[in-house]
Amino acid sequence: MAESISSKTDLNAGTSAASNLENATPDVPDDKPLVARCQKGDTTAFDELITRYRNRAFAMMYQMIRNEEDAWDLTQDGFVKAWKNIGRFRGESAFYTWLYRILMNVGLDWLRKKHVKGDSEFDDSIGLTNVAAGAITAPRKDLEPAERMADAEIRKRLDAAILKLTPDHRAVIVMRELDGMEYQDIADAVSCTLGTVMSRLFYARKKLQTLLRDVYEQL
Amino acid sequence: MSNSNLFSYEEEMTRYVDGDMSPEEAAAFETKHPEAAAQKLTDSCIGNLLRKHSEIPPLQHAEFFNHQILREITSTSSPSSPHYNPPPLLRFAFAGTACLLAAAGIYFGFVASQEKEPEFAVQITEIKAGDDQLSVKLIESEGLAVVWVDGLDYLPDTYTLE
Repeated sequence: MAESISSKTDLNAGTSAASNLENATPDVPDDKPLVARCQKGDTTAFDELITRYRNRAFAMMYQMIRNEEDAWDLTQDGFVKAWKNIGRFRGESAFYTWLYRILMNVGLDWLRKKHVKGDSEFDDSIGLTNVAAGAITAPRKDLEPAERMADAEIRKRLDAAILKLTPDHRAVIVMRELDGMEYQDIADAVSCTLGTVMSRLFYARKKLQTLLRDVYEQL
Repeated sequence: MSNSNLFSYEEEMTRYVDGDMSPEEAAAFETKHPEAAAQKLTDSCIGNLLRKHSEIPPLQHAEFFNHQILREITSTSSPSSPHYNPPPLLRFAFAGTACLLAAAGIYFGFVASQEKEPEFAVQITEIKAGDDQLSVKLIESEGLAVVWVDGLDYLPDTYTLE
């Protein structure tokens, strides 16, 4: 099997962070014949689809979970779930869009089961009266490059901040900021209304502002 | 999304930050909410940070990744068959029929069955023997017949039951 896998198309191996689900892969081969074969029970066709999307799927899951091993396992779970339900896929969206929804729900379920609560959704400290008004957003000129936060430190702080978001807030941030998805696609992926998506984005951003204030103030 | 009155403050701010408003809408929103421009800058800055510093490790053991999935899907069942989604009216009819059948099932299963005669019915037939002192009863139950004779001290040797 190893030989057959290595010869297959492995799309998006570099995993671009910002990508719209439908538009990010204009050169993607047509998935429909493979999906049709999968629906007849052909596992080799599914093997091809896994190879095609495993890197993107893993990247998306990693953004949500922020742990390599768990993301690896959960991405597998997502593919298995996709196989079990592929008979219900009617081709109304791209295969990866459909797979993405499954993966996102697998990730969200896992986070909820782990009782990842984040901080309070309506924390007073991120109320409307003291949010970004007056925040220093421009880089400070008086800082020397050496004084600026090292990339590794910034990454660590970003990871920590995202881990403090509730699963729902984390999901919308990942989908909007990192995957560049439209509100409607996000709403479809997590089965909620457009208003809920926008509201979650608002509070998630407020939370990140609070948690990362010193980071972006130093840049 | 042209009518801003349809959106809450949170929704409008999100649309403003994401550049989802028309220039006129954005200008009106900025006038109404002077803090909006600063917030947009901050959110953009955080968004850029997230994108710039989002380092994703490569998928390790990619071939084993496939292998494990395939092993699992071949050991379980085949994929589900294509899902037929009936129109809402048909679904309503199905639901109604199912309810009626369930109600009928409950009625015949619990209510009607209680009205039946008990299974252990006994049929007793009294036979006139021609002698007032003598009474003969035939008791039949579950294929068993018992002849009960009263009034005789003993059965004569010559008596035979036909």
